Amino acid sequence: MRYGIAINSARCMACYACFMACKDEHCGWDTTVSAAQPHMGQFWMDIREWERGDNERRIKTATVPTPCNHCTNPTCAKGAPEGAVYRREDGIVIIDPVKAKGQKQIVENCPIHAVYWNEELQIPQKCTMCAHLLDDPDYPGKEPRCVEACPNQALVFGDLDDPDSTINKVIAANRVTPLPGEPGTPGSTSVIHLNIPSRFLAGTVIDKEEDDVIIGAHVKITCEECGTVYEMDTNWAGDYEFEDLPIGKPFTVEITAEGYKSAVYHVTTDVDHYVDLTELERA
Amino acid sequence: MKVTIRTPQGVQTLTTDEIAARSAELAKACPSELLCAFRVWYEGFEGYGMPTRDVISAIEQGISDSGCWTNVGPRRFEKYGVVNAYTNDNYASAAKDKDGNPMVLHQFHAGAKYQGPDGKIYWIPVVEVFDMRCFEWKDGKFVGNMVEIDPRSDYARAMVEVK
Amino acid sequence: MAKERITHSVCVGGPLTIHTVDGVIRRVRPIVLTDDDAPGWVIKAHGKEYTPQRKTTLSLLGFTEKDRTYSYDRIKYPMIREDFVETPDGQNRNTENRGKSGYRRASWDEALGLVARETKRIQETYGKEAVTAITSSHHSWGLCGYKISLFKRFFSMLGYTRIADNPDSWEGFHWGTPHTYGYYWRLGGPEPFDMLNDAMKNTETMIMWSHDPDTTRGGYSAQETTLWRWCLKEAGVQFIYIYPFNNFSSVKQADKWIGPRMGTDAALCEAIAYVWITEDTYDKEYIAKHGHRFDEWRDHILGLGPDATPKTPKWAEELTGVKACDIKAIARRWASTKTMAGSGMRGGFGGVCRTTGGTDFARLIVCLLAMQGMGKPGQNMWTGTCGGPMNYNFWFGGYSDPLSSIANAPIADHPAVNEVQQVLYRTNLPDAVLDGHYEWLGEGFCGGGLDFEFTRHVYPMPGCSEVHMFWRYGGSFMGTMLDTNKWVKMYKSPKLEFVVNQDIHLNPEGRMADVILPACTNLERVDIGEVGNSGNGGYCSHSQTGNSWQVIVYQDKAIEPLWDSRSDFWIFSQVAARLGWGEEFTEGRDEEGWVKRFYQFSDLPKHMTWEAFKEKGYYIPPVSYKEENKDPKTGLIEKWDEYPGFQWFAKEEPCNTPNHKIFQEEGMLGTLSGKFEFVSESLLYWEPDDEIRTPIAQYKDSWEGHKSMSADKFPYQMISPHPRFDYHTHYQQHATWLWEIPQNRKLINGNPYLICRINPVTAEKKGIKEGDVVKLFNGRGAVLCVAHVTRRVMPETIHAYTSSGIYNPVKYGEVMSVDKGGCVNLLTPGRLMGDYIPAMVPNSTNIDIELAEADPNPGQGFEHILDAVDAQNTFRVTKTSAEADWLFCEKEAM
Repeated sequence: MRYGIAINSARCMACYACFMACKDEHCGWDTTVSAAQPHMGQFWMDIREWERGDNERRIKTATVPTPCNHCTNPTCAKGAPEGAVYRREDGIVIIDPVKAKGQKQIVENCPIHAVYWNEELQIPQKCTMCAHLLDDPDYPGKEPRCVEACPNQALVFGDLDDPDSTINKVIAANRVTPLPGEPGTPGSTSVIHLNIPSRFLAGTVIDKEEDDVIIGAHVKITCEECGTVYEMDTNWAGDYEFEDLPIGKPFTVEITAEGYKSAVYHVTTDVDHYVDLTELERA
Repeated sequence: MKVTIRTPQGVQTLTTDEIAARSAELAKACPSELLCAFRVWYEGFEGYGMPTRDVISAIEQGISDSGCWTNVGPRRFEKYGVVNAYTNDNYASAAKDKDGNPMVLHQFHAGAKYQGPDGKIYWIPVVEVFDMRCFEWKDGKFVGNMVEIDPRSDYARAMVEVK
Repeated sequence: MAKERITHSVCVGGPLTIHTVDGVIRRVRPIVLTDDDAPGWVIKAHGKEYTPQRKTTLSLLGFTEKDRTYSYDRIKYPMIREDFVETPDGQNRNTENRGKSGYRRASWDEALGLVARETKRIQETYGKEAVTAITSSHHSWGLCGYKISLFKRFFSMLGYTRIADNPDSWEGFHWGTPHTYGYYWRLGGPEPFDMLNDAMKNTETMIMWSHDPDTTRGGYSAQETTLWRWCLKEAGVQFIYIYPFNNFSSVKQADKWIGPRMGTDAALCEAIAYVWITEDTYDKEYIAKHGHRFDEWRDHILGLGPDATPKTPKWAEELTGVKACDIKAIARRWASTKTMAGSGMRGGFGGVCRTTGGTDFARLIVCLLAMQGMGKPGQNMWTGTCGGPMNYNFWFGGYSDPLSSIANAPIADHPAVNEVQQVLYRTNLPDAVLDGHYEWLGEGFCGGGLDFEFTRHVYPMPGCSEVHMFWRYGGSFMGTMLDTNKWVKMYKSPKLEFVVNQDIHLNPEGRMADVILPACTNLERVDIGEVGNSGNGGYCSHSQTGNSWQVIVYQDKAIEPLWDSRSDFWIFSQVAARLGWGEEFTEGRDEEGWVKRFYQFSDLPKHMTWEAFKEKGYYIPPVSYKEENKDPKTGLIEKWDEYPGFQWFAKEEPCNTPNHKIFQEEGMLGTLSGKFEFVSESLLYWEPDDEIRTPIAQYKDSWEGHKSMSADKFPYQMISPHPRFDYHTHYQQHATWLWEIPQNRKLINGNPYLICRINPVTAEKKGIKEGDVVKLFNGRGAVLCVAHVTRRVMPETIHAYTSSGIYNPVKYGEVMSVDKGGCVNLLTPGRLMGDYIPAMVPNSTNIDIELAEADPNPGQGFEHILDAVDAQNTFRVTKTSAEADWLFCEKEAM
């Protein structure tokens, strides 16, 4: 049995319920596996967000709830004394609050910066996947606090070794997107990130003369370097949007519509990019 | 006397008698318990703008002529404030929906007391189409828990308001 | 492992499961349903089955309830202002120092004695009406110990000048839409009944106009409806968001976001109507049957009216900043698909309604809905919160229900009746007190009738005294009312001879009182309540339909009141006793006794005994009790008694929805004509001279907007919508975890500065970078914030959330001090919407912005009053049970 959490950024609405539930559970309270989290300053469930888009007409945000990954081979353990960081049979990685005293490098070694330093106690601390609750037969809940708190099923908990478990079904049905710095290979972590967005290209097509949006204009984007082509038609708002594109690649954007002169753009996906409010002229 | 009014039919010049006659018809058809000239004007005539005093007088004449309404002087209407009002002499057999069922809020005043055929008196603060919530009233106070009465039941239909 | 005790309670963030260990709260969680709890409902749509998760949700605020209970700023014991003097004539009490003075600890005996003596003296000297008092919403929860119940009972029995609340969340709808479609008993909002089911099955487009559902959460519906909107989107519904800020819902969910200048939305509405009229894409049959004087409005839209201005999309583009092509595209999408539209949570709210154009916008969006056949399947006034399946036959009261108050029968044997007729009006309380005179129209909440909007009030009422004593209970209006530097001024006035503050935390207004009485949270006292239920007979009925489950909770006492705090019930009982009517007040019952009466006078006894209810802690009524309504395979309830909102009207049948009026049974709306009024007869009848509420609703330039004179000096429009990271001031100051959310606040030198949002163009112009301290200011005040540079606001707009529970004047205790707490309501106009409309319009505020320095003084500025805290470290680590003894000081024997 391997406990795991699947975190689906597509479903995360940045409500901060998981963030708060984690604080509620750990701030000021020791558990069987951890020392109390200080009242402020640590984020065992960190909400990492960024704004996407370079034009007011199309802005989105990406939100990635980021606890410890509970790596199969924890990098944070490198150079730490025996038992300071240990991985349980169920896959949960724990930092021993006694044995890890003074081991500041545990904080620095984490590739996703999910370990925090407690200055007062001189120990590194992080998410425990609420192992103390999972271990407690009297505790009425069946999940880590963050998962229980999530209102939109963006966090799913279960047994990664059970092929029929809900968590595995969710992982299979979505894009696995490792965090930067993660090993990234299947089975290397017990926390699996899904649907972290990469880049979008978006735009609007309008009839310049009529000052009307053009519905059904055809948009084709080509990345020669990647050998990929994507196509779609503009919707009721004259908008088009291509999501989850590779980062930092050049694209040619061709816009055509019957009865109009076409338009071509050369763009890159360095950032999430709004190509243009394209004003097509009548042919 | 002639007056000019505006309705969806356009601008019309009518005599006050014509207004009174039309008002009498509208009043006869009105299923409500309480009526005033403004209701006839806005809902019946679909009148545009505030009616003049002459128009009001003519309408009130019509209400009186209809024979089914009794003038009770100033009463408060949620829409118009306190205005000259008439009560419906035929209200007991009042409004029915298309299936012939009495409409619940016409049958029961929310907040009033009603006596059932078994002699029990109930204060009914909540009236909905699906239920009514009541408290039994005995010796000047409430007794017991909240009681639910189906407004469509025979018991409910037999209830009579008591003051 | 120490034995845990589990109890339950309710807060604005949802229902709580509370774990307590050795008398200390260990954690708060949502309620996870057990197998013996009710089966859920199932909505079948798009070839799928949708049923709620078997747990409730809690908003982020709900998860801070433990932190909030033990927070650093709890009032620990009664306090009396250091330089307060109990002079026999009420004069010379150093009132000018209120807000500046420190406090000394007092015993309950001393504090209550003083309160009782002063109450008596003032009422005997000036009359009963010389005492006034007011509460906030909702620093606590529960039918017994809370505002429209306990507070009402005490002050009605005392006799006092009531302060009428303005319908702050509803303004433009409350004063506007009754004149278009009625519903004054719902404060201008629509009937949401069973709209989720309708939308899941039929709707293709949702227009969220001035709405951030994930932030405002249907009011107190936890985070329930996030999943509803997710499912709607998954089913292919297009979401269009119209709002000056690309808000937290739109940025995740919108298929289209447009950002009009704040307060110009009426122009957008008119342009949409123009498109429909000229392209002939509205429901003419429906309008012919159900519209009154449509032709005259249509002429106005086409430019055939007196102003001879066609309301073209191009015309609207000029005023709103929204491109004409986008306006046309939205208009066509709306007309060609089944569309739900509305404003704000529950359909009749939203920030736009609190601008000078609020009534115009509200009336016009209703006109637009009428033009497309409001009430036909999939088409209604609904915004995705409220309207979940509900068991209407299960009766349990809400906090505004007349039947669910200890002030009224049947809960009380002897109802409390206030014999004082004089009334004050909340928005301009400072003006009334300082000037000694105030006049206004309306009853505040005018749910009782159209006529209630136009009643005339004068303060002081002829023959009555001015008020000389103010008893403030819970929360802080500094962050929610208007031009709130006036409140600071008011508190310092010697006219207020005596000021009492009764609260859980030492809020900004508390620091301006003479006596501070420590109340406890609802986790420290017993009560009963339903999640999200504001009333079935009160305003906004059936708001609990914003939840996926109806949950009635026995709000057990999790812990004893902390420090020397007491329940509000105890406090009021003590004062009542000292005034000689203690027995009449309590009717011989303790809190548990009163709580049991709410249980008795509901449907709960039919389903659970009192002992069982207390033991389990909650009850969830299934959406139907009939076995035949269950799906035999799943046990889920697939049929329930539905009363879909407004569909009776479209079908021309008698109204059958809950909480309706007699005339709706006759097929009429609550307007004078009984129809949708495109020219409002009720305004012509009641107030034909109203310049703001004209018979035809239309765009008008704001008296504080981008075209008004103040824009020359203060060129930015500040929008201050209902906050994401707070609820009405009740969490921000207390739950310090909220300060760690980067989109909320930034902690600099011990003070949590509020994040304000500016466009990159504004940032460049003013030399402001991300994270800089800035000053928002106009002629009314100045507020230090931290800038977040984002494209989610347009260049002329600055966004900063309202309801700041934190007011930290840098010059402590001074009127007109710069504030570093983020209390942007200091900047809002004290002027009401119009001469005949006593509505607040904080979203019509012009400001300027400039780079500033953080306050060099550390902390928030008031920590010295809280002696349990090290001034350098304004937060305290919650202790474990072994060290909990220092949390409690010796309780006094009473």
